[in-house]
Amino acid sequence: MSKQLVEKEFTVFPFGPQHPVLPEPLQLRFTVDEERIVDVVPNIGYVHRGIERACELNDYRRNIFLCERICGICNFMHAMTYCESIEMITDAEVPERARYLRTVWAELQRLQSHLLWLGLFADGIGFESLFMQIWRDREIVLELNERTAGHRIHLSTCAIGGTRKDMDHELISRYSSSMEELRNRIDAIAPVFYKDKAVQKKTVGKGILPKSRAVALGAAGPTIRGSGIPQDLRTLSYEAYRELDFEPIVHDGEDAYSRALVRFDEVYQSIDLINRALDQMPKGPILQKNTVFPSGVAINRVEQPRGEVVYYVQGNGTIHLERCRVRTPTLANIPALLEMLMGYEVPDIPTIVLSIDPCMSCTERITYVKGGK
Amino acid sequence: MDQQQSVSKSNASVEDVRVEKANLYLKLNELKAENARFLTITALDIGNDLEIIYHFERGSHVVNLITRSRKGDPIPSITSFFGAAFIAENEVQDLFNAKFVGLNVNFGGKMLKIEAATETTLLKPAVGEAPTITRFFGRCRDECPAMVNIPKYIRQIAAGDPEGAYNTVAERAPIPAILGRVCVAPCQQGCRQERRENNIQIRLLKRYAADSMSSLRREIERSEPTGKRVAVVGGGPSGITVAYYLGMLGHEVTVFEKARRCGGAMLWGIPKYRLPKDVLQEEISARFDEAGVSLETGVEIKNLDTLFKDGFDAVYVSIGAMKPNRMMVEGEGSPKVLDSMDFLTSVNANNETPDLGDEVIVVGGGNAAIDAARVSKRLGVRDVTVYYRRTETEMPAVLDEIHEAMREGVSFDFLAQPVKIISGERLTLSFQCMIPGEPDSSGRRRPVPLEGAILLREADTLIAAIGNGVEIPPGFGLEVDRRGRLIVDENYATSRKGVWAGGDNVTGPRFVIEAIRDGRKAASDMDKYLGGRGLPEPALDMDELVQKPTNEEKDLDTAKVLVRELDVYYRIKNFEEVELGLNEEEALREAGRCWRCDWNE
Repeated sequence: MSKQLVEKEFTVFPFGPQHPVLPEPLQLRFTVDEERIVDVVPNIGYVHRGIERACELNDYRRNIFLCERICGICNFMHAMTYCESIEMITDAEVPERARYLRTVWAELQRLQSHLLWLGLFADGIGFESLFMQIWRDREIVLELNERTAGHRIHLSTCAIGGTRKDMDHELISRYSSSMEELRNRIDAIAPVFYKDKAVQKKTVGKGILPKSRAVALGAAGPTIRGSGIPQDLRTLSYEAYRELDFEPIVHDGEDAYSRALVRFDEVYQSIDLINRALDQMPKGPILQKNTVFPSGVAINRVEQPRGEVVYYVQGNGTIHLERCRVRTPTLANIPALLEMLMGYEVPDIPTIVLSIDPCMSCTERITYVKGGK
Repeated sequence: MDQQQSVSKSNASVEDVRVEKANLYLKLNELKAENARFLTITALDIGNDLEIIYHFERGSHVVNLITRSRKGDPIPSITSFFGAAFIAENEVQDLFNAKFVGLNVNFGGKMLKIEAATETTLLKPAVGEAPTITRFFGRCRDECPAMVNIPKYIRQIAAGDPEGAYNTVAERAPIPAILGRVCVAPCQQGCRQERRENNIQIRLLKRYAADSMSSLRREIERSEPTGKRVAVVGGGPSGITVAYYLGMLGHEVTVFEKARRCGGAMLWGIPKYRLPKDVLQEEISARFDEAGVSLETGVEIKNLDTLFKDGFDAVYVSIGAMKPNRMMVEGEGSPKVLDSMDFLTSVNANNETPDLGDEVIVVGGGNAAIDAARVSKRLGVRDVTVYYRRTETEMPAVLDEIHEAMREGVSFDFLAQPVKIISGERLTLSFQCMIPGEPDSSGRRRPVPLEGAILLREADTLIAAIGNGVEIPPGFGLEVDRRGRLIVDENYATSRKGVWAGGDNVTGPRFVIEAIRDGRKAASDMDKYLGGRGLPEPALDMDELVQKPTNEEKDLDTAKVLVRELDVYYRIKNFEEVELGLNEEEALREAGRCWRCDWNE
């Protein structure tokens, strides 16, 4: 970060906000000594949408759809976190079956998010064919989404007090057979990630985030688990995870390669979790309608593909919320990213930046100003 | 960090610690020593203070450090303890105009790339102004041909002001009491609650407003007399509309009506059990009284030149569609074959009770056919059957009316067309059976004869209800199209200067509310022609204050009020009104259900 850099001549160059490696606008202003990075300043805030403010103007029940749109990739998780927060405030019971359904869909989103990222990462290190193969496999998940909700990306199945949709026998068996197919496809590409020399050469030892610094920098998700810390909110046993014997996946290489492996192993883990949840799913109602207006404060955290999302929801007993604050995992990982980049060379930048799986549009949902009172 | 410990996600795993701003660093030191992980900062705007909440994760618990700071006071930055906090602090600095001291990487209020980020948001001005309010017409109002301000009068009814509601309707449609009984209510199809078949019953609310009036004759001022004279030929709904609005604008209006009473198709075509004739007459004469309209009944105008010679400056032609279509069937001339228009006129307008025998067959599928069948039933006919050449789904009659007719014991037979009528002691009818064929220009499947399938039926009377055509007297000297209807421009002016036309003689037989739309538009253009400024166009009412639908949640979700009706066994014996309308409690509940779609923040 910015230090006194006066004695030597340095070059300052901007990376982003438009850059082939970055799907979303983030600017990193690098100060380099020839090829070596000596300072980096992040520049965010290009894609404001004012969702936090909009959450206060909306009917709190319609906020579900708004929160879903914070992030396209983990839309169901956002809706689930929001619904859970309201349920926590109003002390609402969620039917058992709905908890399982939520778990299945949350893991399904993790699957498609991780597959998307693994593809982008392959593209980032110049491995085009791997990128295409992974994205083709991701279609299996998207097709399940479409069969479930009618959309390939947005599920829109979560509701306060349960879920909006149910699965019948046919859909459940479809899920099981698709998971089987996906596992076979992933098995086929596993050797590339575990054994391929080109992949390892590009990633091993790049972007070191030491175990000792990871907590201090507030990293989250696969970024912190790639540094050997078993920080995973699914161990808090929300929804149906308690019944599913969940163990977080940890790799202790502290580098970009470890973070990729965490995500790759989590693909297998998600497939297992989905299968187990489908097996154990009890019968029963899926929605317990909630009629109480929220009054109180809830802080809720859910493990998203990129890490933990934090919702601070404050209700005042009316149809509108007092405050709805969202912290998405990418925001937590940016300080860690800056530390990771320090000391590496310019060609490593894409690999390291991608290794935190940045998702800027969800990070910058903010813009909150309250006036007039 | 003990990550394996399993904690239920409830408020119990959140620890709130309130600290003074001065003691913040002490507490941060403790947290740092406990290897806590920084999550984020939430800022709340509470009057003169900012409440800053620092969220940390310790173990698997969330620790909230809550501190307060007066607005404008500097806040100590925590970046020296938790470097990762700089993004969250910059965010708070940008959005709440807070000042952080010692913030490492300080973007100086410019982290978020929005010009003047602290002054405006994308949604509304941040400082000192009320939220912007957008108004729409509302889908109900968009659907209404006459563009009656439906959301406004529903609100007036909900607020206990039915007279105001009546006046609101009368601004755009002068006969609310009649419309409240006979309108086909396209507005109810537009209602957003229609999708769950729970629409606001707008027509009944209008009727409630009219029924609550102590007298339909209101005390309202006419404009100053202009000295211009207008003749209205035909006293149907569109004629009444033109006469009322032009009369209110100060012109001297005379209505010429061929029959003994005004009302046109509403008088002879609509049975008494739907529209009591005293309501009809009271409302029309109230409007004519208010607008100073003089009425000449029993006068048939054959030539418009005489009107201009008599000193009228403008003429409105609304003589309706009064020429019955023929069935083009052998034996049609029998005295036992009645035309629906003649039959309904004799019963509805002239209070006659023709003897129809025991069995009546009605041919046709429109509202007139249903009316004729229901009227026959009330005259004591044992068996009434409606024959239609297409299927039930293609019937042009209003669905509710068909269902009511079925409840009253009218039978239906579809895909049959009369081909021959043999008169004897009774009528013997032969019907050609049809099957649906290719779709025609109206999108309905054209019936094609099924070869060799002939149906024989006996009946005492046959009522032909296959629609009316338009016949304009040649003395009018107006251009007509190939079906005999008058040709008008978008302002309803005819080919002849100073002559306007609207209603059924322009459109063919249509609904009352559409005739009113024609009449009002024509009246506006006629006023401009006579030197006035016309009638106001529908405009969004920006001044009206609408309450946010917050506390009325209970009302907004309730099911619609079921209207009370006469019992079927009782109603087929007489001509009393079938629908009994809403009482005050029901009307208030029904009006309270409106979602106020015309309002938005």
